[in-house]
Amino acid sequence: MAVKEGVIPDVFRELTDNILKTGYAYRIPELRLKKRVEKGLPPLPETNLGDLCKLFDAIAGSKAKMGKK
Amino acid sequence: MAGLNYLLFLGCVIPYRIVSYETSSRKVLERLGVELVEMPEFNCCGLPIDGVDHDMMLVLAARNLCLAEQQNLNILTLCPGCAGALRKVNRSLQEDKKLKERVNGFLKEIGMEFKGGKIAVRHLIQALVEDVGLEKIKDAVVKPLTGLKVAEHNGCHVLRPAKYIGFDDPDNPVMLKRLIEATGAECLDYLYETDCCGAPIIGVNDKIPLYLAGDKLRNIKAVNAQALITVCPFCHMMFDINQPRIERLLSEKFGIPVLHYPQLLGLAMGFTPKEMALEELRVDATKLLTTT
Repeated sequence: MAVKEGVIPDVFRELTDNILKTGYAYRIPELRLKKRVEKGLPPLPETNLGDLCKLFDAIAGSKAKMGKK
Repeated sequence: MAGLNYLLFLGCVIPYRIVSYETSSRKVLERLGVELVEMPEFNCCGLPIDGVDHDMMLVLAARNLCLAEQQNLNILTLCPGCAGALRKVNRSLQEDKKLKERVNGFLKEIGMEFKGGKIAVRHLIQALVEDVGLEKIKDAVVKPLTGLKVAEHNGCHVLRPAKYIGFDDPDNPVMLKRLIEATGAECLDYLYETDCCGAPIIGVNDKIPLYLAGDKLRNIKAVNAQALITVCPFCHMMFDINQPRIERLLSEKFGIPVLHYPQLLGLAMGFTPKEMALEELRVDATKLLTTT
């Protein structure tokens, strides 16, 4: 109910924003990505941000439609 | 046990802050004959935003499941939160035809379709117990940690909700204890073992989680455990990274090293502390090495 009224703790807004912009819930600093490779770990795969934007848009569109009904 | 291979789902927090868990898991699993395939283009499991947008959570998880279906490989996660979210969605979409249709309606926008019934999702300790097997793990131990006394913390998502997880007994869990005993270490019982570490509410309240974790550390210290063993990156952050903060807040000294289970197993398998990334832990774990 709180969420429907727009009462969302900042941390959740930030997590959602991060997912939309990076695919991950946290913005992983470039230095950490470099460091993992230096330590012999495989590079972190990049997600398909285009796909995520389309999914977010589709869900937002469906919610807007439901709101109009 | 031929050809155990999984698609590795790293999730967000492990590559961000808990690389020691990934490093130790990869080395231990490789030596146990488990092949990990990197998961291409994965995204967050969806769990962190379930409370604010359930549809988005479903779709984020379903997209990951579709990627696994495309590879025809079961998913292995190191984070129990990711495992729980992916398992729950995997099962819900198979059981609820209407929900599956709705989610597939969104996935169609990106040319994907969740089919269902093709792949399973395993958390690390479930894979170790049910797929690798305790006997094989015991056989791999070359430097038993005899004399080392530790405590375990399963965390909530490894066991709950039982309907979707279906692993171990959530009220009286024993599997992590068995895994610890396989290394030769002794696993001690302590008060309120299954209590939450507090991490899930740290985004909205920064004191209560520290008190909760502090209570657990106090109970662990009371039985003279030399270390705490975890299998969740969030629980690990609470007990290891936040331990100095908890000590300041409660004006109590704990000094309990917190190891990821694969670090403990790796030491027993003969890996060096450096190979198990022990130096990355906040609470000094080198004092344990004199015991082992």
